[in-house]
This record gives sequence, C-alpha cells and structure tokens, in this order.
Amino acid sequence: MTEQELVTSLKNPSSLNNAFKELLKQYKERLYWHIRKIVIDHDDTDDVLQNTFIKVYKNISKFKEDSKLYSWMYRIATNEAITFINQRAKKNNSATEEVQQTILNNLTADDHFDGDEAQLKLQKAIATLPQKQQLVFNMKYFDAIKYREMSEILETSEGALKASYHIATKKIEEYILNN
Amino acid sequence: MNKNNKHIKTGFTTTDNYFNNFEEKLLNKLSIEKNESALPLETGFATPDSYFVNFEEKLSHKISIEENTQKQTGFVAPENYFDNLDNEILNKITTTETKIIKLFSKKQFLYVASIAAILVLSLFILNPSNSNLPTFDDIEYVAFEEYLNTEDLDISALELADLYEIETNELDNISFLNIEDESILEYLSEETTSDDYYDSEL
Repeated sequence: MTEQELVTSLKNPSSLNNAFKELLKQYKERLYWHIRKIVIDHDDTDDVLQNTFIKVYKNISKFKEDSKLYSWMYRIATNEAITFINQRAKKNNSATEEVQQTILNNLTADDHFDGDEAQLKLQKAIATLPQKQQLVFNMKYFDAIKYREMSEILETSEGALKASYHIATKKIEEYILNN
Repeated sequence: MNKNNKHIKTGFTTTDNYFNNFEEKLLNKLSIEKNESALPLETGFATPDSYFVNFEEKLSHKISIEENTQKQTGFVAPENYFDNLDNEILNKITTTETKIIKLFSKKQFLYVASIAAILVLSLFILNPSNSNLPTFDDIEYVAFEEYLNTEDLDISALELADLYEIETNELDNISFLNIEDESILEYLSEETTSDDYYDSEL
C-alpha cells in the first residue's frame, strides 16, 4: 500500500481500522526508536508511543497532506516525547538535560540496554546537548534522515539544521575527548 | 510420424520431436541473448576476481547492518514488545472512543463565568453615573410594594408599621385631630360589619 493509498483509507471511516493496523505495522518500530532516543527509558517510550498513535488515530481527519504522513507522524512523536521529558523535568524541578543524565547514569543496571562503554558515553554526550541539537543529531547520525525531511518534521530550515548538526558533532567530540 | 508434427489441412510437417523440445530451446536461446546483452562493451574496465559472485551476499549483509542501526544506540526493546503493541494500542483506542464527554466541560463553564464576571464588574467600574443606580434600600421598597400589589396578604398593620420603622417621636407628630368624624364613622361601620359577619358564623 502506498502512502497516498494509506492516507485515503485512513480518512475513510469504513476502512480506517484496517488502514490503522497497516499504519501500526509500518511505523511502530521506527517511531519507537525515535522516541526512545529522546526519553531513553523503555516504559516511558511505550507510554509516549501509544499516545502518539492514539493522537494520530484521532486527528487523521485533520491531516492536511501538505507534508508526508511519515513527517506528520514523526512531528507528533517528537512533540509528545519532548512534552513528556519536559514535564518530568518540571516535576523534578530540574533541567531536561539533567533528567536525561540521571536516567543514563542508571542505564547500566537497565535490562533494556546492551550497549558497550563507548555507546553509553555517546548517549551521555548527546544528553549534554540542548534539546534541538539532540534531535537533529539523533535523526541524522542514527536514522540518517535527510535534511529535507527533517526540515518538514522539525519545521526548521535546512540551513539551520545543518548548522545544528555541525555544532552538535563538535560538542560531542569535545565531550568524548574530555571524559 | 507423430500426428502432432503434421498440420492436417496443409499437409506441412515438422521434424521429429520439434514441439517437444521447443520451449527448452527457446528459453536457452533467450538466456544466452540476455547474458550477451549484459556484457559490457569494450570499455577496458575490470572488476576484482569473484566480485559478482559474492556481491549479493555482501549487499544483504550491508542492508541488515543498516536495518539494525538502532543497535548503535545500545537501547533494546523487551522481547515480543512489538508483537503485542498493536493490540494494546487498538484496545486503548476503543476504550477512549466510548468515553463520555460532558456537554459543558469545566473549562467551558469557567470561560462563561469569567466573561459574565467581567461584564458585571465593568458595569460598575465603567458606568460614571454610579450615583443614579438604585440602592439596596430602594430595591427593597420597590420590591415590597410590588409584592403587596400582586399578592393577597394577610398582614397586620402593626407588621407593616414595623417594616417602615416609624420612630415613636414620629408617631407623636401624627395629628389624630385632623381626622374627620365622618371618616372615623365610616371606618368603624366597615369594621363592625365584618365583625358581625364573623359573630353570626359562630
């Protein structure tokens, strides 16, 4: 099923449920890993991912098709994940980056992390970055998302994204060398 | 001769087993032509030995690495997590769909209440002729008069006097001498009539 066919079926109440199952099949893993990199913890990711799909289901009629379905869903997932981590930070009365560092410090004891020392260090380095730079770095470095698509998802110009990625890589390099 | 090799009407014949091997021969020919066209023209380019032999294997290996890029993060999802996820989400959607939504939410009520409060306050604050507004005392008397006019009340003169709070010294100022005899007589006769009526009932 092409993306266009999928969108048409999703907007038709009689075919919505089947189309939504197809949507889940196609996107659940991609969105899971995208959210996971932001909120880090598996259970939190599960919550955010489910909320994302519920929002998609409820708002599909409002999807204007001026961007790709994939970009639109990524945008919802990103917003949901950021809202979640910001709320967690507010609750703990600390900055978002601090919350991420705390989760990462407990990560080695986590069953859902099998990375080595270098991977953990990279995650800690990413968590020191401002939110936008984290997003850009994750999307470019791990998911190899094109700047054009990233620009649609994050509603930022390609030039600004390239600059963000450049700064992010410099900062990560510095962190890894000094730690 | 096999009858399949002879066209009955024209009398033309084919060689023995011509049709039996036809498909095989044709396919062989096609594959040779395909291979020939796939060969590059004389460009002088060469590939390393066995490059094409292992190409598919190498490519699929690379694809599998790219597909598993998430592993670079070190994060893993619990076993079977993705298998059960669809049903969990679908269940949640059905549950949220049947949720009863109030006609007026608390939020809407607050909006309406705030607007009403602003209107009432602005009436007092913005109206320069505050002094012309009726006082609570005025409202009390006006309302009371209206009440008396519309309702059939069994209210005594004393109760009425109480309401008007006539001071005792004000009572002194009332001159009973000004009341004409005729009026008193008229009053008494009316009062007596009603009294008589009650007496007769008893």
